[in-house]
Amino acid sequence: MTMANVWNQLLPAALVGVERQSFMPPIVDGDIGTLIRTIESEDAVAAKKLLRIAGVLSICLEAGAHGVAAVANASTLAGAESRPSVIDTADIALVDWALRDGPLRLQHEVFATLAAIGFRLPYACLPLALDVASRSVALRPALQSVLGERGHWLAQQNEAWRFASGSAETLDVDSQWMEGNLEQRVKLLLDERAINPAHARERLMKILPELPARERLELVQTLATNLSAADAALLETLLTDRSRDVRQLAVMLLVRLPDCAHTVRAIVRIKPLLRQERKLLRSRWMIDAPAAAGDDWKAAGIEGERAKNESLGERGWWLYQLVRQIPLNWWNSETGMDANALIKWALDSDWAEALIRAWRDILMAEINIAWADALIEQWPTKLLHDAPATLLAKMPFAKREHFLQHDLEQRGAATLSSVLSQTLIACPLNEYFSEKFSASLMKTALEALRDKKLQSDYWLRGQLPELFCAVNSAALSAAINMQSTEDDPTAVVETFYSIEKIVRARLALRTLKARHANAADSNLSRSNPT
Amino acid sequence: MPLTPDQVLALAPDAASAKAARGLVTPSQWPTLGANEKAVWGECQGSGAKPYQTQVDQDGPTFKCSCPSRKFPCKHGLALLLMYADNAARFNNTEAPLWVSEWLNTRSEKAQKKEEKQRTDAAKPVDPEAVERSAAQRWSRIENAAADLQRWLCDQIDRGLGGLTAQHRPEWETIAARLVDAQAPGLASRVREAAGDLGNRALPAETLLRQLGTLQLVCDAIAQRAHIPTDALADLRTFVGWPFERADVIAVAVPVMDRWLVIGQISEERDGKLTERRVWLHGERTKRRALLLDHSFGGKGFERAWVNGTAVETALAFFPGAAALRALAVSTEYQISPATFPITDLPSEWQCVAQRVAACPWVPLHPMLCCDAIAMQIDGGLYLYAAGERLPLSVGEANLWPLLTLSGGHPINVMGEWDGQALRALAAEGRDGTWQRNDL
Repeated sequence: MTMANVWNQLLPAALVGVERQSFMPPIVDGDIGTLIRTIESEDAVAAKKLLRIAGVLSICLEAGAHGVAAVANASTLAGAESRPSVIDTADIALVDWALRDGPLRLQHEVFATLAAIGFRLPYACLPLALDVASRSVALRPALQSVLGERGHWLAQQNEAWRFASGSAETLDVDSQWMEGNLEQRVKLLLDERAINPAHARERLMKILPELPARERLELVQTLATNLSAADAALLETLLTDRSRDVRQLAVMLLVRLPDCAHTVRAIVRIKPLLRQERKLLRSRWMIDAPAAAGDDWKAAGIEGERAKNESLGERGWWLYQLVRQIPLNWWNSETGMDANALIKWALDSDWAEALIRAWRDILMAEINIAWADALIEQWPTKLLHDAPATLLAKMPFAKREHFLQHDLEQRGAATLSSVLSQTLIACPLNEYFSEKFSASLMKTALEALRDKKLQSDYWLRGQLPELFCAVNSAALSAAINMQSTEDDPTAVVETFYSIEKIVRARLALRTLKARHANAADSNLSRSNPT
Repeated sequence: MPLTPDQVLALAPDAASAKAARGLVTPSQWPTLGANEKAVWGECQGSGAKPYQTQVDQDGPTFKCSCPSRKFPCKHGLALLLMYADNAARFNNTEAPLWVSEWLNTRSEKAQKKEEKQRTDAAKPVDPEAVERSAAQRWSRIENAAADLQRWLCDQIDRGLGGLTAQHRPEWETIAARLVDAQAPGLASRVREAAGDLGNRALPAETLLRQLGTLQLVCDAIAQRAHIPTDALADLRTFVGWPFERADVIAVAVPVMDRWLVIGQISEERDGKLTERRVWLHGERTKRRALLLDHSFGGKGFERAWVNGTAVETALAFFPGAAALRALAVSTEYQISPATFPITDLPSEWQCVAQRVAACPWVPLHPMLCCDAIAMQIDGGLYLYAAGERLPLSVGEANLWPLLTLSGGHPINVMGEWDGQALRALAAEGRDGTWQRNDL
């Protein structure tokens, strides 16, 4: 009998009880067997003999312990790294802090900066980075390029991190497309759309039927890059996709193609609803909502049924969808009104919410400066539940900053928290304000810190650290020596501490970037001495 | 020797202290920062008018702070070392201020007095008859308790273990309490440990039988104690929960001088506020392994910190017993230097386990070094592959990912505690760095 199955002899009696079942000691060779036989022959009760034998076997098994014979599967190794890592201890500590306690914007900047200089995250930070990105989808694309081979390998080991378990960076494009994760595929398609949109479209078409809805949505979104009439046929097929989100995305992409068949049909649908009425010497434009759903609506991506929580009535809902399919410029040419007048006209009409919401959607898909200016200027808070800053975030930086600067000057210190809220919404994760506007923001922020506004303003305590992540890093030096005072409450001290860490981390990232740029320049000048 | 940030954080008494320390790593909060080869010191602006004076004796490290925190080391001490690890150049290399030098002198005087006291105590005449009488009384109580335990064990086997569930734990708890009353807390712990496994269907069927069988042999050994060798008797005494006094150990042990490599350590909570710390050492010259076992109550911390990846030139006094693992550091001076992982092979490690068990069957944990080992997750289980063998590996969720990151599927050197069923990893070293268990 082997030592592994010695328990088979003892367990039945031990479990049932030796009062009910006698036991047979296991037969073992050698000294252990001799000892067991000695115990068996002793003048003792059965329970004691069984326990002694169990004790002896237990100790012998412990003495003879070893692992199970097995060899590790060598195919599951992390590959060699192609990117260098941050090595400076202070930099690693700042990255660690940013991932542990920093705002999302700073975490994004860490990933984006390392990616920009061709670096990867230090190994010690990988579990934390994957954890952070598992909670925030917005960080995932930026994280992807700085995970390195070890990071991708690690992501494969944890179900919660599968979003990052992609193909190796060293693989060729086709292998990456086949083996890559969603973020990698999106990036690959975006890169390809920039240089060869037709090839990217072909690649996408082939794979679409196999994908789940979320992945279809993300990948179809890449068509927005270099969108052209050649994409219309694919987009029209997506108007009947199983996923509502994909259908809506197709609609919002098709509306950007004014000459495509879908848009032409949409204009034909809306024309009978728009008419000009004459009253005395004046004529005014009137719009009506459809009275019944059309037969071809489903194929055009128009839904007859309203969502349960939809604030529009049935006809308003139909009109909203019809208007969403019409390019904004058509309204200018058809009515002869400019954007400002059209927004005013819509707000005065019976179908204000349907028209304004539809135009806001179109603007969010593709910005039109004149229309966006007009809508932000007359932003109907009652009709649109989001803030104008969401649209502002799509505007060119100069326009955005002009509006925000005006807002800051007008409302400024009195409602700083509300102004900063707009300012932060208007600055997406991967963007930073200009040096000039940043200086203005810093001046306001530092005044707020000096004026002890933080003590009574909970919102401001949350916003200021984020603001320090959104301003241009050149403006940060003004904030280096800021300190809380002795009488500040803990929450304020913590805000000061967060701001100081953010400033240090961002300046360190800036130095890292500059150091890398200098190194790259000197390499270039060495290779091109002229 | 300057510590790395990870090594500093490993000294924190709990997670809250580590987090609070990270929050204090702001030079602006420290108007004074200084360091020399003996100590690191700084003044931290707290909520009071007077800054806290924080100092760390690098020979240890050992902490002192004027803050009112009961935790040891406090967040200020940890933050000070974190800043020093981050950028030592930020610290003025000057002569220590009075409040630092006085403390260092006091420490040095205390250490000398302690050493003298130990020598005096050892030389002090004791009444051997009184000692023997007291020991005999305690053995007598233990013998009676062991006899009761033995009868109770037989009752369990008579009735059968199959029907035992978690509902039977109170009865087992009563037995354990009686053993504590009889001054045999070690036996009580074993009974409680077995009671904790009642009704746990995830364990192999023989687990409970093995635990009770071992207790039976301990009862037999106690009954036969007059006939067993001195070393085995010392092991038995330790097992039943009657540890040797430090002074007694120092008095009888022959100090073993070596360059002791700190190969791994773990701090665990025991019975509420009691923290048990096990530091495992490997003698570079003697190739001996040693365990420094310490306890602290209420987060007060330990007198002295041991840092993984360092080597300490010092003398150890080993506790009596054939297992010869537990030891005390008896030197007053320690020379600390960086160290690399000792390299061994798995068959030799198993041989050490076998020899140790043969010498003393009651050793609960064996230090093991697995070199060139690969940590892998398979079907939700974690394993260590080394020398053609697979061992169950336990690290805990928080430690798992940093360990796997270090490995990346490549071989690493792992140090852990073998408990007879699985290896609990405490430290590791790979080509890309080191890892140490952090249970905060």
